[in-house]
Amino acid sequence: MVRGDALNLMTQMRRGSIEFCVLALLRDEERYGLDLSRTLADSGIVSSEGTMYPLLARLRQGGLVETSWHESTQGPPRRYYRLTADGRAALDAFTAQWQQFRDAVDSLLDGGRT
Amino acid sequence: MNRARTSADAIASDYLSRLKRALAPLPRGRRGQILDDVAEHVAAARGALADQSDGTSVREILDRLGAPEDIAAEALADAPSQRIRRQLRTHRRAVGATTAVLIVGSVVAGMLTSGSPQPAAAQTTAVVVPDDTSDCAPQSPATSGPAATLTSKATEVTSGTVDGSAWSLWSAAGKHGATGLEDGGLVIDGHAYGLCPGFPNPAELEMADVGPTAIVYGVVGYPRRANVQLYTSTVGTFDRGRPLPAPNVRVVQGVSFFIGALPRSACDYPALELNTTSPGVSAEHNLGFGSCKAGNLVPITASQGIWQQPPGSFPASFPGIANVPGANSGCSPQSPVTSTAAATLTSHAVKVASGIIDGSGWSLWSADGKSGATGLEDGGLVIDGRAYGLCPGYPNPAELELADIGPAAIVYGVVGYHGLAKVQLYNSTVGTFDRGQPLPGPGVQVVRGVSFFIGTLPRSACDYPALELNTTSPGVSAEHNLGFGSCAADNLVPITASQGIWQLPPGSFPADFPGGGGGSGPSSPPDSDCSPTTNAATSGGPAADVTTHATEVASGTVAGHAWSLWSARGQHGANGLEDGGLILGGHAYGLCPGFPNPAELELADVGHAAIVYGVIGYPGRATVHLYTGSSQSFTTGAALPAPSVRAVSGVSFFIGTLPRSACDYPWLELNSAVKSGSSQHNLGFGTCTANRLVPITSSMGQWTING
Repeated sequence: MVRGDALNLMTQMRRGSIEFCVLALLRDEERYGLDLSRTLADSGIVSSEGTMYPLLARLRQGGLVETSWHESTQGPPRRYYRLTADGRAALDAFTAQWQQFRDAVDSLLDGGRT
Repeated sequence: MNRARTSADAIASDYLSRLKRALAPLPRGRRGQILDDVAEHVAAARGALADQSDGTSVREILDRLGAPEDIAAEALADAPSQRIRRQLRTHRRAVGATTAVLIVGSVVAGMLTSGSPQPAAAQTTAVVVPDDTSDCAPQSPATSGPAATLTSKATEVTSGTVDGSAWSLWSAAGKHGATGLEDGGLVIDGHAYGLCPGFPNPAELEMADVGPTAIVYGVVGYPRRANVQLYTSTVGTFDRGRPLPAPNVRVVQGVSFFIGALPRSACDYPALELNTTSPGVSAEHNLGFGSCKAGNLVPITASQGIWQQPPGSFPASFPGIANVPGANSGCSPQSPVTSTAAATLTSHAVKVASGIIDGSGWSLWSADGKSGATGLEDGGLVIDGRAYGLCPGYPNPAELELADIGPAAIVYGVVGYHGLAKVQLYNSTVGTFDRGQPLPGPGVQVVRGVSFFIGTLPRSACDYPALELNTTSPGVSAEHNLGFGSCAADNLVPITASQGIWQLPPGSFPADFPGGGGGSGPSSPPDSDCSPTTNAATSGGPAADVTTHATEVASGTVAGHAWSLWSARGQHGANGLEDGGLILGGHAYGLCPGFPNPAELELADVGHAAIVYGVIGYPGRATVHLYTGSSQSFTTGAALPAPSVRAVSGVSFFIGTLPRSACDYPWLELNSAVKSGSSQHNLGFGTCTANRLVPITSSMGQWTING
């Protein structure tokens, strides 16, 4: 394996998991776009805030999130995102699979060190 | 709350425009969703700023968002690329077909006097007339107001949403038809906007600077449902530029009301062409717009129209009216040579263009309440905070000023003919029409319907006792000789002599005429001029358009398309090729952008990858390098694949493909070199149309001649 493969792997892992990271951020509360994008960018999950909006559009199109407008005390009204029932089911399914996958990989990685 | 448009607004607007362009291949719904989201992001982030007009803070917001192209790449990553590409091509073909139908269907049937359309006798057979109450007065103000100012005296007649904003249409109490709507108005997001531009036209249009994209709405006063088409245009013409998205149309009170969003900010549309076809009758209008202001209507500064036309007939020109200089292109009094503080100009004028010249920022200002060349000439130029006039005081169609600013002279001026002019400058001798050493061509752009040019000369303003200014606008040329007096730093050089002849056939610049001198000096390359200019709109026609008057001189293939190059009979060298042309895939394409450069380039929207070709007029085989470019700059961007170059007719012909669609190259940089000289050219391109050349909207070049 060369370094480029590792970078590509990270890209693929981000691409595969980022939608569920967004769903996870919405698990317990509604959030607006700026809040979501800043949280994801600050965590390093997305390279720039703007690339999250195509993803949000996909989630809306797929019926996993829905939106509503809220007045804001700072600036214009904001579009808030929240999970739909389908979105919550998708997040639950991914969470279970991810934990299983993560545990399996951790086990192998830990075993490799001992 | 209304507020003045700031540079921060412009920065944000430019970003969203870039994003919109980058997202163009996406289906409309998805594209709109992403655009709305990003616009909201920007608005929300700005809402948290202590100073929303702080450009630096807005840039930081946009930096964090990332490049629009990266957002588009993310959006396109999961889209079925083949489907999107096909949709794009289909759309563009549809646009081309529409244009063709309109051209074929054009019937020149009317005469126009400025602002007062006079239907010709042939038109009186039309049986549909505008609603007899479609006039409106007084003119609605550009400023918006609280909704109650309208709704308290009107009745809501329909409503909807546009570009995410709720709107409702109101008809004035006690009135009906078009008059009711025009004396009523529109409410958008709680603010009232008028619907009475104050011109007695059957079709009225307003443009509102509400949000990142312009909202247009209006009334077509003919009975029943109208088909409404919008185009970018040039003030004072009936030119149809880029087709714009058709607005939604509803029949309200027996006439048509339309409303829609344009792709860019309301500040980006200096003129619009409005073509409407109601049952049995068409109307054509051209509207010019002044300065935009967020939350308000953009004031209409010019309006002309012709109506009672046969359905689908939208004359592009009118019999008896050739391209003559704007009737108001004279100027007086003569502008002083001494520069003044910028405020002496900007306090009574409107900024209409800006750029960078020789490292200095410039802005062009049009006098308040004036239009066309007069507006510019009675306005002037600001360079580095100082105001300079633009009125030499001679009633010429082309005006030029020479400014002694910095080590290199700056020349600028106006060509008062309609449309984009090519501008040639030469050293000369006072009182002659001699063309001495060619000087670098200035950058030219259409402003207020006429051409404004600005550029630098190789030496100080003190070193040019006389200049020859040759211009060619669509269909007409003008020739001027100007003598200059003593230079003084940071001032204009006084014009001490001026003579000119105009209304000349395109490309005709007599070297001698009664009262004039004689003889012409060398111009190099000697045969690189071309006239008339290639017309992008008619490119892609039958091969016979070229082959009947030319001889094949080379052939090959590019991107799977067979091409052949043709030289006009009776001509040779670069002129032969430029007056000949290229046959590509069996269709004829020109090779004459109309600019007097030693290197000519055309960009063809043929297939998925752009095709570029052109001529380097220097003798011998040239090396040719292409780069992406930027607005009116010689800065090279990304290197593009080098085209194939052949020596043909003693000069160089090049042809090649670019990696992306012709629609993706708004600016190109063309650099060429031969043993005897080198050239740099910057070319700006307009809207692409499948299977046609992309129109060149801006061109500037500089070149050297060795020995």
